[in-house]
Amino acid sequence: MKKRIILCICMILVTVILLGFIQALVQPKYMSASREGALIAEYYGEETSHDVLFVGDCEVYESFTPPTLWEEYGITSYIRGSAQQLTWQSYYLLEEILKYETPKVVVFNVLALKYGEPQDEAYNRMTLDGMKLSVTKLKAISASMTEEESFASYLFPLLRFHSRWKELGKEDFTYLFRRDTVSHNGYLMQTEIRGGKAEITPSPLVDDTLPETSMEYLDKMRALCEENGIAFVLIKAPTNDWKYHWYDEWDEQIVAYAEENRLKYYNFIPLADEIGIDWSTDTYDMGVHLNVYGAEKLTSYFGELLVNEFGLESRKNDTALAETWQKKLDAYYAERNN
Amino acid sequence: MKKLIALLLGALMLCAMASCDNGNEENTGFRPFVVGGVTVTLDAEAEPIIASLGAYVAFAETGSCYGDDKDKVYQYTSYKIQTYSNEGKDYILSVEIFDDADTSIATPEGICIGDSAEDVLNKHGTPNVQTEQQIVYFDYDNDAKLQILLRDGVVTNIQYLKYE
Amino acid sequence: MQFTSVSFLLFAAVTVGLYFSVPRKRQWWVLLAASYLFYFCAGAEYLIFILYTTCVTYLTARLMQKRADAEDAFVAANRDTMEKSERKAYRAKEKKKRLHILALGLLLGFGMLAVLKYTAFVLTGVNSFLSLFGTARVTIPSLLLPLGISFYTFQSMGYLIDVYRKSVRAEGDFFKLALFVSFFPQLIQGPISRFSSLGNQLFEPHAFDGFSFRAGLCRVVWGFFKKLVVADTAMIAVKELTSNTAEFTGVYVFLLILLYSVQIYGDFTGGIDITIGLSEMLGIKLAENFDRPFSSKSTKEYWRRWHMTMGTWFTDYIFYPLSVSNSMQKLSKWSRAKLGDKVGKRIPVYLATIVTWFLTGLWHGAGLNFIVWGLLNCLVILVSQELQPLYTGFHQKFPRLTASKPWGVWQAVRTFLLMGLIRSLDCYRDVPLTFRLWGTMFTDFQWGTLFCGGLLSFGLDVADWCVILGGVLVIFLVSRLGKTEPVREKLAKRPVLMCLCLCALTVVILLFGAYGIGYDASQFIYNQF
Repeated sequence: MKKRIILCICMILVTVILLGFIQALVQPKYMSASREGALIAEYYGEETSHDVLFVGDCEVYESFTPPTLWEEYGITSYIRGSAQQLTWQSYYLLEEILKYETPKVVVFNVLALKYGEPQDEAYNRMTLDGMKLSVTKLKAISASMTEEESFASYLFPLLRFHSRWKELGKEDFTYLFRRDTVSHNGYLMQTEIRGGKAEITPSPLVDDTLPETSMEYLDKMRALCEENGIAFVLIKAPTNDWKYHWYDEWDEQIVAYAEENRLKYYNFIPLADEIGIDWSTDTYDMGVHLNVYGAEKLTSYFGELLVNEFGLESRKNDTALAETWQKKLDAYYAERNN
Repeated sequence: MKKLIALLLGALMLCAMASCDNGNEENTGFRPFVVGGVTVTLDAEAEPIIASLGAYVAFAETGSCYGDDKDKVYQYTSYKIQTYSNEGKDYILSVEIFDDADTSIATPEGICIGDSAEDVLNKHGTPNVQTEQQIVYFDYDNDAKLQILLRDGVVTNIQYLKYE
Repeated sequence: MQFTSVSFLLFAAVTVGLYFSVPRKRQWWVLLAASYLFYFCAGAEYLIFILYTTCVTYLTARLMQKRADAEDAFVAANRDTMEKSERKAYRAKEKKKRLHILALGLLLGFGMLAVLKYTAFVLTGVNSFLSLFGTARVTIPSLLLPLGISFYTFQSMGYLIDVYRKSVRAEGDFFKLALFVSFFPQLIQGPISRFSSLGNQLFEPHAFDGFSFRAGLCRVVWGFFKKLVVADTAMIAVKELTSNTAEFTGVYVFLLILLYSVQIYGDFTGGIDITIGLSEMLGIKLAENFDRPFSSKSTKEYWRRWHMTMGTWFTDYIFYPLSVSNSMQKLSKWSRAKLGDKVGKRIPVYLATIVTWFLTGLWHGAGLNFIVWGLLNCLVILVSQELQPLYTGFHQKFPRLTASKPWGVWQAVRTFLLMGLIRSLDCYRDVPLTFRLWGTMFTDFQWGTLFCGGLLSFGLDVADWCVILGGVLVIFLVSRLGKTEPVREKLAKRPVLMCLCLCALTVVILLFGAYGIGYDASQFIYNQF
């Protein structure tokens, strides 16, 4: 009898291990396609702390280059952004970050405030699957799920990705238990140039008030930073786009919110010329996102603000840190100049 | 016994009434947008339509934050057409009339930018949604809507588009 | 709460856990609470309807029981003073009174089902009739169709008839009856149980029995395999083949017949396996609903083995009472006198059969296709009954051939295809279209197109085909192995082997099941009835 029970328990254990293995196999690896999906998990590999943390959507991970910020100002930074990262996802990621470190400045890009409801399963997956299991992650999941999604499938991604057994490729086996680093401290490099200014009239807004839910989470982020003595900065990345257009009505609300809470808000759209952005060379998709050349210009500009307005100092004297960052810079230039 | 019968019959009636579903919305399909003799139907293949519309004023192609999906937009005088791609082919996603530079651009019923909300109701009939900001007609069969935006009771924008 | 959802698994696990941890006398309370919670999750507004059916059933059954008891008491008290004929007359009078109560109960019970399920169908018919005269149309109200209403109404009405017939005593405890009507594993897709076999089992205390728990668990997992891996993968193709009928004609209609047979088998028997398995884990034995139906050699046999509890319901409560009713007897006499013995004696039987099948069709759904489906089944049964002498002659002439195994296989295949053909009415849902598509199988079969990419043109890729064919093979083998004793019972006797099989099956279901995003969430087909 006893032997039987032990045997059964062993079999169940083997099944659980086998399921874990299958799960690792079928989960998308985001190594060659949709690399954005790999961003969130990369943060856990960081060994040093950061002065500045960026949170937000693609407009943070395509607009700022942490290696430049180090190279020019000796400021350490990380970008915790992912594709269409919703405001509450940014909030929970910030909550999680604070368990690991307390940065001096947190920067939030305001475009995502326009979304008051969960949007898209694929984007949710790319943001949430990368998070380590924690209460924060569970809260982030329940705030983000669209109607078609199930909570269980976030705890056991096999339930979501099992049908990928049909399309398993070499990548799935190569990256079964490891991942390459795709970003430079959260920055996803784009070297392509596809310039041009699209003279398209943006569609007017039906309701020009930013949704309550996202504004609530913005306020929660502000409060969290305040509690932890962190400077909270709002930015709008420079874009030249009709589709993800940043409306004046929205801008006014953010300006008012920043004033009310005595926050700094930088809308870089009208500052594009001052920053030196050339829309014919500094974008890879006709003004929706900056490419690496545009991002470097914006980072240089923003670094100066960080030094002057927030009193951040260079940490280049820290030799151990400098060594770590030199490696990052090498990797950055290797990809940039390739 | 009679009381019981009356009671039970009453219960039956109550149940039958309770079962009435209120979600019985009337379906109002609308006539598709026509410009210069070209009919622009939502979900129709875009290539022949764009070809017959001739030269556009502006064009843009926008990807999403990730993935290979590309939305395209073609802007003409006073209206623009957006397309989405599926398996390598483009289809019409929306048509939008945004100003009155070309006064001939109107809905098949004859509504153009600058008309009053009353004109819309007279020509298009009873809407599915009406607020101060907009008048909306749904075509439930095709998951499409005709959305007419208003400011101070005057039409400022007209859109035919797919909804999810 | 779908059977195939994670929340149902949790719900079932908690229910089973609670069931065996409360005092045994209270076990049935756990089931009642769980059943109402389960139904509440499906839609709070549905509760009104199940409560209504329960109240109607409870009150009318109690009323009939009261009269029956009074009748027995009266007869017992006056045994010495009453003549036999007087007693008989008194009992007949009382029976008639009970019949009135029964009629009221049936009217109220079936009335609700009829209003909710058939109003739109009838009014559509009325409208098309009115349109012939160009008269104004009747507005068709949009009514809710509560989950499982056909099943619980039939089960409750069967109970009423049993009480009327005095084959069971009316349940005096309202809550116990409520449990009988709403028992959650069988609430939404059957089997349709009888009070005589299920009633006591529900209310009796059950000690934990390792053997039936294990066998039940095996059956539940097996049900999930049939539903998620086989039926839901086949469904992808069925959906595509039925939504594009202009393109998929000829050989594709034949494929649809095969694939839909696979789908409905996996779906319905899988669902019933989960139901019966779960009940078995609780120590409750439900009536079987299938007995390897696809090995049937004739339509009649098929209907004895497929959806058995519905078949016996119609036989016991419609066909038999109708056949022996007074009016049928009169009709029989009249037709024998007028048309001669040979033809005359068939008339009442035919009529009862046709009525039964018409109602069976109607039960499956409010639609012409279901009625035609029922009547076609009836036609096949009646025709084969008429041709019986011919078959017997053939068998006598070729005894060795007809006793051989290949002949048996041929008969099973023939029955399978015939039933599949008729069943396709159920998925095309349009009678003229179905007939036209059947026609294309004979005029424009074009089987060659299948091998020029045709097999992969309706949503299934090579991997899906492998899953379906592999799944069908496994189901076939398990069915063969279980001829003498069900495989799950064999396994339950060998826990280690059982554990191994369950683990393997779980992996297969999780990996190859057609569930989650990317696959359309699918209800069990029989939930709609």
